[in-house]
Amino acid sequence: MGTLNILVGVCLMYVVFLFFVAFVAERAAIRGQSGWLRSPLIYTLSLSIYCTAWTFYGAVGYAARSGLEYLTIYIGPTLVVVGWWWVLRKLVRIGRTQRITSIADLISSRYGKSNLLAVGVTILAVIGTTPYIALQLQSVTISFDVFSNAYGESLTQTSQDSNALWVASGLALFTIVFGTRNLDVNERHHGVVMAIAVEAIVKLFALLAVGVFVVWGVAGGVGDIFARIDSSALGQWQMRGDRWAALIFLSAAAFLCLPRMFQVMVIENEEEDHLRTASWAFPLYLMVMSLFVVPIAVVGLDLMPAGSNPDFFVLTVPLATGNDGLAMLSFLGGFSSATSMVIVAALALSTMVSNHIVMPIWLSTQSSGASVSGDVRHVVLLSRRISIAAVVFLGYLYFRLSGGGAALASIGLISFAGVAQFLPVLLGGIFWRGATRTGALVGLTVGFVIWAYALLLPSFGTGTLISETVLAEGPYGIGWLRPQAFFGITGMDPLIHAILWSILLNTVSFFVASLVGFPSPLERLQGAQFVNVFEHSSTPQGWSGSLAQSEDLMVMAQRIIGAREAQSLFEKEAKRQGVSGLLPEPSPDFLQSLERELAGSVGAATAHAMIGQIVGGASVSVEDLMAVADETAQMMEYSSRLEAKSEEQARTARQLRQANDKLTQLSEQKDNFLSQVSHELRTPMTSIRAFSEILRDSERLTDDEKIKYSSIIHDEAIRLTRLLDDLLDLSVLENGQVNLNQQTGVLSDVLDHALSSALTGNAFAELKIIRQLSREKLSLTTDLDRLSQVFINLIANAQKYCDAEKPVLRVEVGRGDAQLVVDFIDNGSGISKEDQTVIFEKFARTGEQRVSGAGLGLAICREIMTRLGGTVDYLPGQGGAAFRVTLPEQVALAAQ
Amino acid sequence: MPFLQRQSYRRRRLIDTVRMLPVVGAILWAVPLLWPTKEDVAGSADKAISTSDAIIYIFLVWLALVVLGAWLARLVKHSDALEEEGDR
Repeated sequence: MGTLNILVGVCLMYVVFLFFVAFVAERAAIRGQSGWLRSPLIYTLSLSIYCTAWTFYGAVGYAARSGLEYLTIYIGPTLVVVGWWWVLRKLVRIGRTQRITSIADLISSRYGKSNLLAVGVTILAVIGTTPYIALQLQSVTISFDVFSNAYGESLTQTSQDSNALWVASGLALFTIVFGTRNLDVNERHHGVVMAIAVEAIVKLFALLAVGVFVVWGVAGGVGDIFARIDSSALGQWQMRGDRWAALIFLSAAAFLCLPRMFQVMVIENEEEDHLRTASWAFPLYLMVMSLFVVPIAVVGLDLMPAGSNPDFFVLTVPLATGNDGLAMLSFLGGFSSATSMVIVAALALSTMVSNHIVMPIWLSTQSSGASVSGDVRHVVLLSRRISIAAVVFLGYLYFRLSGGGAALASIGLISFAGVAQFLPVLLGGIFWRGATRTGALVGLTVGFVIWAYALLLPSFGTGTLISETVLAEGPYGIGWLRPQAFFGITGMDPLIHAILWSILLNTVSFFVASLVGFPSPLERLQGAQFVNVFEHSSTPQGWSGSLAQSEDLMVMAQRIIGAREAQSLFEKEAKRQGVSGLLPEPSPDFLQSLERELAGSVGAATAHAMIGQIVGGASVSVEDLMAVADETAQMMEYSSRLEAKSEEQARTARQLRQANDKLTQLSEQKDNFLSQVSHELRTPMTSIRAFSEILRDSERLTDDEKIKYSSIIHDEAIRLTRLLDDLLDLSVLENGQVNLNQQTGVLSDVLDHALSSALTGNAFAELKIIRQLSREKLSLTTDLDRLSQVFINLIANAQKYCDAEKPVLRVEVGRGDAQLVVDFIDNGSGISKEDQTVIFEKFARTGEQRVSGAGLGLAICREIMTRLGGTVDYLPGQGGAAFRVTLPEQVALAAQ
Repeated sequence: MPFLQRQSYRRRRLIDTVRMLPVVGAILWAVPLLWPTKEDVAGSADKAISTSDAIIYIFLVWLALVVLGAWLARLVKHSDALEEEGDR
């Protein structure tokens, strides 16, 4: 027994080492030094629990039997991981936002937190996984056996069984210690993840070492090994197309649906970004894992005596060539593959069993309800531990009962096909809002029944669980129900047959039942949450409670997530709500987040039920759904309001820009005016000064000269006065201090007066006036002097600025709606568009300064007209400069 | 701003590429379905694809997927960073 003792010793040391690694990782995580634990590398390595002992040992056997078919098992997952953006990213995001604890939890959560569905998925997962655990135990025991055989020590059946029992117990212990150490709300297990990452390296290294040894140690390098491959029985492509495609699909589906894969991929995921690295690193790992499989198989077939088990070539080839160290390493690789799979599978299944089966049963036996029962936390942990032990023991039992025969070897793919039944429900749940609970239940049931009937039962061998006659003629002689030839289609590969029909009918019935049924509000809510997880990552409000229930909630939360954690959670919420003390209002928000915290410990369905027990009543009503819809509508409205606002802002900015331009222009005009005004003031002042000096200093002036000079001084003084009067007038008008002198008169008289005043003494331009005297016979009651001042100004302007050869001014009187209109239209070139906007401003003077003037006239006119209740505007498009004076109708009517 | 628009346009097309990668992989790995098997060529003059050729083809596809995947993953991270800068 010497070698065996060494083997056992190495094994024990390895296990102690694993315990140590896990322990250190846990400690580091507790002390918050978990930075290195959260690297994408660890995540990628932890995914490698996909490669179990079945792939470590079995792949070589598989290759020796069926050539390259084993590659399909790796190609499927590679495609899934490379396509991370499609499914994995969404799964991980949903897992994080909804605090999913297992695949059963995900499916139950999605379909309205249905516990029935969760129980169903859990049971099916246990059925699908137990044989797989048995397979791992078998591989470890057989590898012990192989080792001892090599040294001429054969193990008895009992010692084989006891080996298996020891291994099972050890694994259960490890899982219990590191898997249920704490009831983490995030359900993450740093110790376990670290240990399986280390095991991933060990198995990769072991397989690579054997591969390198085979290629360069036994064979003579790459060229030689290719030659050996081509000359062997596997030398030619012999893959059946249907198996190739179907197995790639199957392994891809299983990769997504296996409870243990879901555990490491979604639950233990620390950061979504790790997926990005794993998207290429994990395919690389798989590629390297499968690189040396065919060489080892071919060399093994060459080297080993005919009839030896190809499943253990990885072990027997180094042993046969006398490389004990390498064999030992390879043994550890296989041991690693087996143990890591069992640990994670047990962890994942125990979470499901405890959350969806044990806890609901336990809760229902507590008649007093969740709030008054004993220490729930303790119960949850205990139920997890018992579940772990039960799952591993179930695997051991299966191993014992099946006798560890060849039936086990084929169980890998059968197990895959079983869990692949989750695929339609899983993908439908995250991509199709219309998928319902009924659809999921029907689809899963149909899929699993067909799987069990067409694949699982016949796999135990004809005559054991399914009789020969049923297989050959169908149940009760119904030919089209033959387990391996549905609908009379014979000649298909049994595995492909079962996969095709189970997945196809599963999908179809899931789809049809979803279409026919009508989902509950909660299902529809959850459906929207899952399918649109990237649009809104928050959960909608579902609960409503009263303050009296806060205490009950607190009691319950303390028992599930621990006293300190619960208190700090409640305190934080109370602080957020601004409530004094420890107990927050049970607002829907708070209840929602509390439910999610609890879901992290006991699963969504249980947490939902527990809160429901305390708060009571239906949690989601149609009104809530409407509220959610409203929220969306509000958001849309809000965004359209934002859009409108930004448009408005753009408009305001445009207006501001215009105002600014005008201001700049005005400021320029003012500067111009100031220089103009000083010029205007200086010219008369200069002549006044000059002529007064002449008068003062010259003694020989004739009387005529004296009169002439004094009248010049007088005229200039008048001009000055007029200018100053204008300025004064304007400022008076602007300040509104003007007193209107109301008189009654006839419009034609006012115009007559204005024309005679404006045209007297200005002989240099002959302005022809065209009037409509008949229309001017209107009496007015207003300040006629001021009105006449406006007319004078307009006529004088026409006289001054009209540049036509024969200047003509038309004065047209008309009636608009409720107003009297007097237009002054000349036949000059008019006023340019830019100038039109400013002519009424003070100090404005049009372009060329042909005629002197301070630019106050029109400004005064406008002010006067405003005082009189009318307006004066420039009238464009009249073929010359045109001004329109309007007076309110009552001014004219009052006099009639 | 045209610069940002261009950037997010580029990012969308990058994501399209990421999405297409598994499809391309699946198509390339479906090629073996077309190969003649040992049974197909039995009795005819044609030769079946030798296993070594098959291994080389399948692993080359694999390697290409890994390399492309790694390259795209880098680009996605890069564009994530840019996106955040652009957003905030």
